[in-house]
Amino acid sequence: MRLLILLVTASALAFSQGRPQRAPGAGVGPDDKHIPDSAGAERGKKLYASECINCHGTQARGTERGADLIRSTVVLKDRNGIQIGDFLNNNQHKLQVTPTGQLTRAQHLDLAHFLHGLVLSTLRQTQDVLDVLTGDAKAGAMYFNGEGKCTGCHSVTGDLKGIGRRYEPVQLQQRFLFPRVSAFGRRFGGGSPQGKSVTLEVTPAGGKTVKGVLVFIDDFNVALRDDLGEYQSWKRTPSLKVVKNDPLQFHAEMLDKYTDKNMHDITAYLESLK
Amino acid sequence: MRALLVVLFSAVLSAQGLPDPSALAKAPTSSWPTYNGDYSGRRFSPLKQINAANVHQLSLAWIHRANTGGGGGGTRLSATPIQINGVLYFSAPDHVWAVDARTGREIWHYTWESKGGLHIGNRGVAAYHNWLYFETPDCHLVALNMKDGKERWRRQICDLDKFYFATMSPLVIRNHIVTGVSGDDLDAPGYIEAHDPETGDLQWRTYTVPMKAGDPGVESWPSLEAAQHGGGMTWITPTYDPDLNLIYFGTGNPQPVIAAKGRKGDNLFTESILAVNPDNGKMAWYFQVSPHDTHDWDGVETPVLIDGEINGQKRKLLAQASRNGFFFVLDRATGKNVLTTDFVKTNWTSGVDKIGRPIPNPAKEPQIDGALVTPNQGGGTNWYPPSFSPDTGLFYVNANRAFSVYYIFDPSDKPEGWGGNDRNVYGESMLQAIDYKTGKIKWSRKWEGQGTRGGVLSTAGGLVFAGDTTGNFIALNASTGQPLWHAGLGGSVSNGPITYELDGSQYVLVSSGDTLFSFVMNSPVK
Repeated sequence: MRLLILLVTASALAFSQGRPQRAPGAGVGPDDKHIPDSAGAERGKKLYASECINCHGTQARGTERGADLIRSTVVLKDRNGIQIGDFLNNNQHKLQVTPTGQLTRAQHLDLAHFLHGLVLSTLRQTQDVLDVLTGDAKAGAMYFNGEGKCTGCHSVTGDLKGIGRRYEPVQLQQRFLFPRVSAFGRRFGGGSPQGKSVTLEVTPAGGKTVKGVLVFIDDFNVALRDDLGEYQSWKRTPSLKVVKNDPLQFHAEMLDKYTDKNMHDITAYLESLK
Repeated sequence: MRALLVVLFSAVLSAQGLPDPSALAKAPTSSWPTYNGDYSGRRFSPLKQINAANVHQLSLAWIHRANTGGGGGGTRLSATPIQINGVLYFSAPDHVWAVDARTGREIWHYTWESKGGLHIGNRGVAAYHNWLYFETPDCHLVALNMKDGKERWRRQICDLDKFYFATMSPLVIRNHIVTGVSGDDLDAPGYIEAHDPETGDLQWRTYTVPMKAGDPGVESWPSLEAAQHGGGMTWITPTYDPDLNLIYFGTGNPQPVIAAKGRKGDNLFTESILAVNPDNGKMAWYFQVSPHDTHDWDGVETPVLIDGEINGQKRKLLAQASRNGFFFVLDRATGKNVLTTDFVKTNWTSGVDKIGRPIPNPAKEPQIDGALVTPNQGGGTNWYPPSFSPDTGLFYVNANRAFSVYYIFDPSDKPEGWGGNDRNVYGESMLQAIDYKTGKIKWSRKWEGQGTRGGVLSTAGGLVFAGDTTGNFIALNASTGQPLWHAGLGGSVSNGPITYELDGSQYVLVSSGDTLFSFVMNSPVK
């Protein structure tokens, strides 16, 4: 049974739910690399289990009796099962059930679909988070209400009511750490703002203070959209006073203070708020 | 003195792009003939026509939009151009251009027909006599005629079927074309090679991980099989000391990248700085900046050569601001550590060991339920080149302080490939000026926004040129970090800026996205 679970897990890893997936292997390796067919891979998985698994292992990563097929040059250079088939035939490779050299071309192709799928399942973007709910919800509640000072801005009967229903645990974990970043993807800072907006107070020399939502700021210029929805911008000079108010600044400062236990406990607590 | 230098470098470059090793130990003025301008990696120019007092007058000379053939645009120029005899040569994946350095007009454009590989970027071309050399995403080293861009020969330098690809700007040392390889998708070994510039034939290959029993470093892996698939790619152009006849380069992450249950040990020589003889590929010494890394913190950032002074003693030094957030200074003759300190605050170590290596905290290795780590996978810095000014004694690097949660996706006993990844949480970016003698931050310019990806240039004009996070190219006072001039490029700086003097005018070049911008200090029209 464990073998089956591991095989299923290997396949599931490649097509996990919950985050945007690109085609496994897209953009890496040769343009003409073998792209696995899911039906063929399913047939190949059964064939692998009956013919190969005892020597090459549950995930084809090798055992003392057989080579690692994920790292195998034969597999990596294979296209459509031809090189795999040639290797099996030319080397008189012994299988578990079928007599040597008796697998058909179609079976070689199915094996290739399965093995290439396993290769691609080891790539960067093809797997996903398993389980982040390992914390102690009670400890999380204590931290939330005490040392973490979360109640200074949040309420479990207000803005966080039912939050455990609204987000997956991994999203909860990342959103509480810093709510403005996209929960998924490598792009650093690439997500659209999901939390409260940064506001500005801009005071020109001798002028009135203008308040609004930050549109743009750098060392040289600043822009906001004021309460009436008007866009206003200024060149930054020593006489222009700019005050930035980021409601998430406290989240940023807390990143240096959280322990990993705090992080897991708070995640468990937030997840319990159904 | 400046006139003498110009004459000297004109002589050096009289045979087109043949860099003289002894001359390239110092920065050029009328040209920018190598990836780093010279062999030192300092990216410091002795030019001072543009200086702190007049940089506010710097103006646009021309722009060149790299046309890859599909109607223009669509590529990202991360290459540092080289400039020889008034012609700029630069690249993008599958493309090389020659452009008039005075006007920005295209002279020729070469297109490579690709068979695949990750098109993540191409860092530039190298020159030797009348030939140019560049690497392709599908694992080739290609030689072109500088005159017209016609192909001379092509040689395979890595195996595309094993998901290698190639990005490095090659380095020419005498009759060696030094090349590197990229890739961290499958578990393959890294290596560095030298090729004959006339024929492309392989002269030597040196692996960055042990490949056979008894090889140095094999004891730092649980098995030879693990070492042979242990990664350590050679992404970035080496630096070179002609006196010691050693090239210096960093190596990439160990494989599998994140899930490391199957590679216990230090995993030599991944994430290390290596000193290698360019004539035979033999390693003189190594220093590992991240033992047993599990965060994809390639230690490949440019090892910058500094002729400095420590405790009153003149020293031949090497400095690296590494992706793991630490700044290292080594003796480049021996590899012995001089100092180790973080240049952005980190949380992944339990200290520094007696030979100067950060000690990884096992609790900050990726976990199934997540570990909050800083730096994030992007690192305290990354591939983009830093700069060192001998005038200020400061090492300038665009840096990020970012947090992410690192996860294990594959908890099996023998994970392969990645087996995990990080998810970004928060970050901030800044330009750091580091005193190489102490490792202390002399000044820090924090940018609004997150995620810098641009290189740095410093000059004898008392300036540092760098990009911020909002699309500005900025000249700062090299001693104080005060911005003195800027130009909005419409996108972030995407390469390392360069400078040179032509016809009596100093130019500064930088790219953003698919566009090369040339700025010049104009002289009065006579």
